Amino acid sequence: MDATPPSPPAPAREATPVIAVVDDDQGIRTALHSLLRSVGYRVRVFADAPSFLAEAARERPDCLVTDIQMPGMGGLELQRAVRARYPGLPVIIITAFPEEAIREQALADGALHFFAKPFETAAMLRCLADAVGSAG
Amino acid sequence: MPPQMPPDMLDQAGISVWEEDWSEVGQAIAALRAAGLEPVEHLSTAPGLMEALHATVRITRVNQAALHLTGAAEARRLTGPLAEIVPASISTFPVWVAAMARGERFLRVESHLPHADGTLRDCLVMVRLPSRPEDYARLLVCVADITDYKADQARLAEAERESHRAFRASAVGMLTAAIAHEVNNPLAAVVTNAEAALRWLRRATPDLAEAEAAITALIQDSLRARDVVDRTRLLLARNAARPAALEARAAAEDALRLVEHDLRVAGATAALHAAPDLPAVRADPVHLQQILTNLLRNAAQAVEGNALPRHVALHLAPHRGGVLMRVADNGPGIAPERLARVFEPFFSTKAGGLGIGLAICRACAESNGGRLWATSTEGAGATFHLLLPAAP
Repeated sequence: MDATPPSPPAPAREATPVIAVVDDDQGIRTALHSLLRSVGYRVRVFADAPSFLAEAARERPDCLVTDIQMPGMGGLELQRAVRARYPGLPVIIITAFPEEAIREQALADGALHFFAKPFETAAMLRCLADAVGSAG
Repeated sequence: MPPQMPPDMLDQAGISVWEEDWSEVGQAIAALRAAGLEPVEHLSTAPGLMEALHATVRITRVNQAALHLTGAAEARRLTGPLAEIVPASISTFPVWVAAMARGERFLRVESHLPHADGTLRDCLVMVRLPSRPEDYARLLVCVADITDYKADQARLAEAERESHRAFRASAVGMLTAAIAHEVNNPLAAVVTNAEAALRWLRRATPDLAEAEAAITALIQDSLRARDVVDRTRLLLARNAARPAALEARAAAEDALRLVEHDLRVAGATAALHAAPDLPAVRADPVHLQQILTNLLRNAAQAVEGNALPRHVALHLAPHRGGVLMRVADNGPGIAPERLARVFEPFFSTKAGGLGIGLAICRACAESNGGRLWATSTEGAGATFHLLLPAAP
């Protein structure tokens, strides 16, 4: 349940962007996995930050979508860890408990966008398209 | 003029008394005033002026209690230039000069005294200021060690902050954070799965298996959201009322103490008006406290932005065989169309508020066999009425 193997992308080409999703909520992982694949992205989902970092050390995703409140390493900390390794990697933050201070911190740390759950999927997909181009 | 006390009487005094010679300070103040200058202002114009004047002050005599206070072996160690014996006195020296220049009769300041054991003691310094020029030669300064008192005060303030934080963290704050997190996650999953299902179906070749999987997940997420609601209800049920006979007045006083900080922050004054001969009420003490502190905090926040004066009043009166507790503020009030809705969960007029405080209050009131309602005159404040039954 940690790292889902890359799904066969709808338009199967090597250039299809890979989106990594890190969220401790199984429901969110399943839903984003389906949504992002439905528009043609390749998706990898992770239940926690360390398993993502282990995978990202081997292969750089094109974009990271991460939750904030997670047991162990949280999303802000993860973003900083990712920044050190991949300075240009687009990071999108999603959270179920949006606080202004956390939003400001996330954006100050370089997050591309900050979405409060439940978020509008169209806005999320636009944001992804801006970051990595639309899939398919 | 300072009282002329015989030396043995000074020694018997339980408080340390320091006789000090401020003659040159008195002369300097008189000279500056004669020249039409404001002494403290003038002494601050150039560096060193204040220090130079401070250096002229001498301690001429101390009593036995002063030795005890400072741990000094003999009085000789405590007589001489004030600046050398109590270096910290320079920080309050301008206050003394200012008080003397204004012709004040009495001065009380906090300062620090070095103790022979190397520590710095917190002290309260009290002095009757000279009224005649010759009195400056013999100032009687009383110094009390308040180190322990200050430490107690600091501990008390810390304990108050801690209990405040704990209360916030435990009650409504935790509940709202938990509910927000628990409900928003399945809700986000529902929306995302629904959107995904649509997109799988709208493909050139609809992917029915993926759409079905997304819809199945969506149903699971919806059930999960329902479970959150059920769990929350259980949480409240577990806190079922354990009613006891309570004195309404005592409960009201306790609640006012708990919100003292909020009232202070809001710059509001609070008043308790209790009718005599109130019957005891029947309510769960924790619930009653939660309701009253919630209503009082809301009232404090309601008046916060207001022009002064900001009032919060708690009225207790017998009503229909029970006791009616009314929390009234003179804030902006609540518009009629909003008044009926303020008890709905997630209906909040406060920025950052999640709006379940009043909903919980009403649920609490009703589980105690009481009622909670609100009235308001727009522009003249709001009143929340809590009616509790009398204890049998």
